[in-house]
Amino acid sequence: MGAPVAAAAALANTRTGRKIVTGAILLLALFAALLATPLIAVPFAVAGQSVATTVERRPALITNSEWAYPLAGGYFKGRGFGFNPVIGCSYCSIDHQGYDMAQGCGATVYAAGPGEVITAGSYQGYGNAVRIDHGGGLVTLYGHMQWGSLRASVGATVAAGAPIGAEGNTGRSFGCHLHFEVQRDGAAIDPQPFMAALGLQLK
Amino acid sequence: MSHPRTPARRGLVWAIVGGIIVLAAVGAIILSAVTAQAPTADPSPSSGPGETSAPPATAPPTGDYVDQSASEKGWAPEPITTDPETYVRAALAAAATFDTRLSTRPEWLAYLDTWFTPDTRYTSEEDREEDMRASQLELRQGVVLPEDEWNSLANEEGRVTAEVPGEITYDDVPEDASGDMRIGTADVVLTFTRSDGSGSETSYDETVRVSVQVLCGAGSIPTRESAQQPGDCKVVRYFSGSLEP
Repeated sequence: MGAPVAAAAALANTRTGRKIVTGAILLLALFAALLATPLIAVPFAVAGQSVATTVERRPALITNSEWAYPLAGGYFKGRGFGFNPVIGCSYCSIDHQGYDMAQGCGATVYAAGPGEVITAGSYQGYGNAVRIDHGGGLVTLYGHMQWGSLRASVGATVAAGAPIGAEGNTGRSFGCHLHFEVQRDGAAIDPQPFMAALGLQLK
Repeated sequence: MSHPRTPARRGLVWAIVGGIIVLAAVGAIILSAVTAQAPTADPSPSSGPGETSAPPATAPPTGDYVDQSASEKGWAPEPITTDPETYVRAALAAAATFDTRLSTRPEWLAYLDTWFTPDTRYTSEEDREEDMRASQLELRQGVVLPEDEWNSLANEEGRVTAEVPGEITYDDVPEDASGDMRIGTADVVLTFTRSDGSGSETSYDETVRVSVQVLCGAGSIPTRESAQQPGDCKVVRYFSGSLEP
């Protein structure tokens, strides 16, 4: 008890003590400001996010062929089309029907070409998927999108570059990515040469 | 000369000590306030009172089985038989039949371990045991659906049932003097079922071609505390990768 009382007396009666008290108060103010930062910053961040969601990040590239990349900007390439065994799994399919690409969970997925939406929702192992009929037996499929993210419904007509959903990890998927598949007359074809012929080089 | 300054210096020391105590007290208050916050619960879903228990993924089997109750956990029961055809068909299905709602992956794999018997081509008991452990490791690391896939299915209340609808092709096992071992290869149809995020379910099939080596004859070691007898068929190994061109 003696030490605190003496300290308090010294703080009150000496110039140095007053300086220490001032320093302590400043430090306390600094701590208080630090603790209060989230109270101010979080509402601003939330408000900013809600504003940002109303604006597309970047438009998908649309070429003269009126087709677009299903993801805008750079992406990571996953499994390619065709023979593609999963190492260490005899019970996994060795034939990959599409082209896997990833920007990150929630990245906007765009319609690659104009057409009519013929699937919007759960579709086999593709999870939350959209299929677009482009006519002439040509269909594109966008798989594994986040539940609740679809912005297209069955019967709707979409243009190339129209946002249709968000990259996710639904269905038979081991991480957020887009399974982009191109089907001609019901059979999957390699998306890379198909898109390249339209002026859109995939990795 | 220094005597008159001693009380002031002593006061300064006490002031510094007091200031440190004040700051320490403030720090302690902040720390206790932060640490006293109750931990937040994980947002993982829990079973509500209105939810019903999941039904078994496979129908109860008929006939003789090592453990008929395996189907209650979503697993394929092991038949008690000396017929390679019946056993290969069952073994190929078992390695891809599970229900993520009814068991964990380690439980399922431990169950599959009970299907194994040592390779009788090895003469020493030690080598046989070592080879069987290697085959069980191969099952985990190179044969069954990987853990990521299990987790993906578990996130959507998934399960898989497998069956061999077509013919099985057989190969002899090299250097098997007994002739009791065979390698069976067949197309296995995997039916995946999972919830689709809206409360309903979706199913789809996938076909893979897999090989298994079985021993039906003298030297097979039955599962403990079961009706299985020496000589009944058991798994020697599943093959990682294709045995066919």
